[in-house]
Amino acid sequence: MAQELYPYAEAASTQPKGVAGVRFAYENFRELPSQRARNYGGLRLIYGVTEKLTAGVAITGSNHHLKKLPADLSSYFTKHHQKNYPQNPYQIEGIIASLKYRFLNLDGHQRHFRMAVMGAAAKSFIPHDGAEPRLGDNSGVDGSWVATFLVKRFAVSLTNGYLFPFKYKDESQGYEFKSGNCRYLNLSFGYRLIPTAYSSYSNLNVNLYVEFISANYEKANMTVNGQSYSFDIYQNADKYIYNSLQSGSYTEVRPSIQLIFYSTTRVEIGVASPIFNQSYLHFYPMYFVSLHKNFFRSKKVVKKI
Amino acid sequence: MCSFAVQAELERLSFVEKASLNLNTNIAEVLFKQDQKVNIRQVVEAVYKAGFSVGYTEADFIFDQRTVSDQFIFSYEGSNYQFLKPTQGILNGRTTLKFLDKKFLRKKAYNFWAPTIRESVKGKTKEELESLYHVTL
Repeated sequence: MAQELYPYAEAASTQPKGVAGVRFAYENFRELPSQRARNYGGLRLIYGVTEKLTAGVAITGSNHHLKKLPADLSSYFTKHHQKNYPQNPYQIEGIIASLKYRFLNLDGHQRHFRMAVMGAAAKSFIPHDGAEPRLGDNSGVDGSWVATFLVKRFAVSLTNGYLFPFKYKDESQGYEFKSGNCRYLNLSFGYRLIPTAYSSYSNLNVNLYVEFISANYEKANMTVNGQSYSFDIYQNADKYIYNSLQSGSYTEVRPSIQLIFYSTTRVEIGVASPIFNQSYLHFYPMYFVSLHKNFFRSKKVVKKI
Repeated sequence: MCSFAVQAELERLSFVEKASLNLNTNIAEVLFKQDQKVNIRQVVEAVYKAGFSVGYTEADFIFDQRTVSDQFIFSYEGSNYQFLKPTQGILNGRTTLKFLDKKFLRKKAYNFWAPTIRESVKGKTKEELESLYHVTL
């Protein structure tokens, strides 16, 4: 089942009961035109509450955002990707809690079709400044379903979800910023390259993945002291920033390679590239690396008295 | 990674000496400890806890010229094993029995035996059902 352990999407399979896992995901891209490095890290703990229910909690951090939106919004919305604009600090962005429940299991010999529903809620500590939302960047809630089909060395998953971001409020400056509501659809493919046949759990697994991430989101809205704040004035200033505040849709592709060691630890590395429009959550190419380790429960030791 | 969870979960059972899972055929062989009471239900539940399903469950018993027939029940270590439509009448030596209860085999295969099993469990208490297994050859 290793070929359904997608780097980006969640498969419909759940964490085994009583098994904990820890995952660290890292993303890197160069901001344009400043060429400054933007880094993101997310540490996630997951736990198999039952064989069908997996719980997770994550904390994210990056240098993608300021601590709060500045008083000079005009300068911010025209220049914050420029080299001479103050650098964003590294900071904790948010925490995310999630649940996944597998409700359908059609298992056969070396094949299965499974479905699950997922829900997540996030509390963010930073001001996200774009129309496209992301849990952790935004406070909000997310609900989705996923279907995974696996046969022999091949797996495919379809995820369909909805992300509802909450308003960001800065009462001291009278700001309210709301990212757009977002529908997303992800299609993920996985293939086990090696081994072609297992001899033991210590066999190195090499899996190849291609994931297509699609999203459709509404425009951002902002008020200052209760008055609507228009972004139209920035249309001719920085096209990228202006577009990042409008409604949009895109598809990007994320090819990656994954290594699994001793059936407990996995490493994946990949890159995101746009194929239809683009995401404004990051510049391209965006590189990602993630590490995941499962902690299986050890054998009970019974002491003889 | 998940196959490893099956082996880990099986070996956590106190009466299991060793479990080995063939990662290509997905067949798990479980060796039980001597002089320890075995609970086949817990073996099956361990697989489900790990996130897998069970395709079929078989166990080897050693018989000594035992005559069996449809609905025949024999007892072993506090559990009762009821034969359903056995294909032979006299069992001698090492014999593999197939388990027919729900979750012990694929749903489609279980559906074939379900009406017979439901008939056989009528009137039995919860305690009786917990120690009753339906088997065939």
